[in-house]
Amino acid sequence: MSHDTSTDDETLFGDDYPGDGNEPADAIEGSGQVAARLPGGSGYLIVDGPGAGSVTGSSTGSDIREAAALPERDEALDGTLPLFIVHRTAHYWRALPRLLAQLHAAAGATLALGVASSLPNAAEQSHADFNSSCTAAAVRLVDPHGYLIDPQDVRVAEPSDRSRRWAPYLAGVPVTTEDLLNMQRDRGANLLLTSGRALDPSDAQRSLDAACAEGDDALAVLKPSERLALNLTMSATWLTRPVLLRALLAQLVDQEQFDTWYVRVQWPTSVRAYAQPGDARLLAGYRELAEVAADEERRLLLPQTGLTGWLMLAFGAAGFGTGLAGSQQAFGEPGGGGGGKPRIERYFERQLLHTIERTARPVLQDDPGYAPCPCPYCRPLFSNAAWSHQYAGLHYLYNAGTLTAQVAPAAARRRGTHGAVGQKVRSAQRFATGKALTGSSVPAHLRVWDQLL
Amino acid sequence: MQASRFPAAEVEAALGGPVILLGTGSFGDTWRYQDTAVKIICSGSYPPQRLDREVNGLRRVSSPHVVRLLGTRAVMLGGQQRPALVFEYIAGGDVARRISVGRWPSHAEGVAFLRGLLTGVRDMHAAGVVHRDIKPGNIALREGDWSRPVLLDLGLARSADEATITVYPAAVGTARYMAPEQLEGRRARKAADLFAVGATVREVLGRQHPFYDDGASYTHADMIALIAKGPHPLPAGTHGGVADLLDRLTTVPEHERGSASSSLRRLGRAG
Repeated sequence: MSHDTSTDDETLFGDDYPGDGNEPADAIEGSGQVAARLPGGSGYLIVDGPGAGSVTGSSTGSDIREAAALPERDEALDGTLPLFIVHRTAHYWRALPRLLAQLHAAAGATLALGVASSLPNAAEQSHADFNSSCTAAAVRLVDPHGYLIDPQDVRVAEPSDRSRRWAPYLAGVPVTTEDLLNMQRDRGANLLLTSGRALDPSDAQRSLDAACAEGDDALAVLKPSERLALNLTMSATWLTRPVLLRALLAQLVDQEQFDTWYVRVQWPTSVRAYAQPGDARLLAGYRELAEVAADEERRLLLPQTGLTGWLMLAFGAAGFGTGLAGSQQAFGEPGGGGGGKPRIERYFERQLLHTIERTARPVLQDDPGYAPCPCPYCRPLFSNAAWSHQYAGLHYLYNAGTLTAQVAPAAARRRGTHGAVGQKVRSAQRFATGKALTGSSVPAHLRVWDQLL
Repeated sequence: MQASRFPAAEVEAALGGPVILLGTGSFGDTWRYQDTAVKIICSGSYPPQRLDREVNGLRRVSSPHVVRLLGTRAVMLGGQQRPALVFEYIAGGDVARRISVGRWPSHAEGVAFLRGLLTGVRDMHAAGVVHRDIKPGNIALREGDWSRPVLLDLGLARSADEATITVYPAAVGTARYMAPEQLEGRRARKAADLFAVGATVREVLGRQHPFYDDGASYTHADMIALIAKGPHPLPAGTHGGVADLLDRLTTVPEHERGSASSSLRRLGRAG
């Protein structure tokens, strides 16, 4: 077991969770308010200051600064803005709307935001409430996670009874393609997905054909103005074995009717929790997938990839997904839980592009080049004696989002996204050089990333 | 050209006016009649599904680079009603005939030819049709202009989403221009059309087949090996961007050929 694959975030946050994320905004923010015009001009979203994440009336008032307007879904998917997708946690999700608003305040017009929820992990109303509260998210996905019934193709835990109730197709109840789309519509999704059943590497072509046939059925029943992404789930062998990678890419290029690919790849068990895969073949497979998508002007979205997804922006991926929990930063194999051991206190070090153990921080802080994080979550995180996994997670998400904005075409300018990512990686390597980091705090991925770039 | 299956006089009587033989194929003959080209299916073994497929494929496509179907009719020949397809007549002849008499394009004409073919293939693929038998004999030049190629004979075309009537493995198409996956008997997809475009354009630019020697005979395995070895070099002076694109189009991995749309973008960037 190397990944935290918990879907119950009570275990993620433990007992130190300080609230439901709805504590007064000025507890962590300054007093000035910034607001962004909603798509369609029907009001404003407070994106910074007291009330961040909430919607106000038709005027911002003279004492409120105006931020860049929020992009609409189709702008978020037109390939000009990187799409940063935040995966919803099963609990404590109320902190996310404000985080998204703050990211918009920080990134302005360089970044598009999305949210992705697991359809089997919550009741219909809960999904609808979450999606309607994420005003800053231009793209909202409710993923059917159909691969949960394909344990022969990806390693997954048995769905719970509750998940089967919320997603009856996991219990063998037949649902039509239209039923599946309706479930997503009813829950507030605005980018619809196919089921995401896992591809079978032992019968590659049949499996790809079946996925595309399902996609064709979905396209046939889309309503005007709706958008669909082809949702594919696969084991890492699809990216590491040339014959499978070729079959996958040939199919995706051939099936031009799908303009958006939502591709989830299960990482091998050798990848440790909160780390990035270092397998050069796997990364090369991701790179080729991203390059083909860019060449063909299709949108490649990489859910549950964390900073590996961020890296793939350099090669042409349109967006990636990550979340508070380790299981949302990587699509790993299920494990047996923590065995009652206390949770490790971790902190994302943006200068290292890596999550380290909290105890390793002094090694970095002693460096004169160390810059304390200015994000809205670090002040409350470090002002309390008890470690808040929630604030540490929100700090990670905020920084992953701003890192994404910093390599966006609009911010990278002439250097381009590839150049900007390369600069960040080289800078992180330089910062890591000579630091006495050990164990999971070592950013082992940076060398492989540099070679890939 | 081979002799027609029925005398011109009988065809003239059946169609109602003077005719000129344009070509003969495995299953029928094509005649010029007034301003149309009439393809009369003479062989009783021509699968009706194939005829339907050609008609359905052509009806879905609208492109100046894909022959326009005007209608279908029946023609009484040899005492039998025979199905016929009525196409627009494209003055200028086909590419096979043109190169057989040594009328090769200049480099600029070759590039314009490539652009026209890719446009036709893009329009065909956008309509969900895969041609599967693109070759010099199935490409006409409107008014003899290399920049105005027209794809003919969609008899082997397949709708990208229809259940296939070909049982795989089976090689479908004309071997000299077949993609390696077709030679292996695997399904021919859009990438196979792009390979055939690449092979055809390389041939007219290089004045030799890119992979095979004239007069030599090869097994499919030989042909696959020669394709894997790579094509003959293009003539010195071929524009770098055009050469890169033609290299991509004639590569073995299907995805590396890209789509017709992305190929047109590459060609546009090549200038």
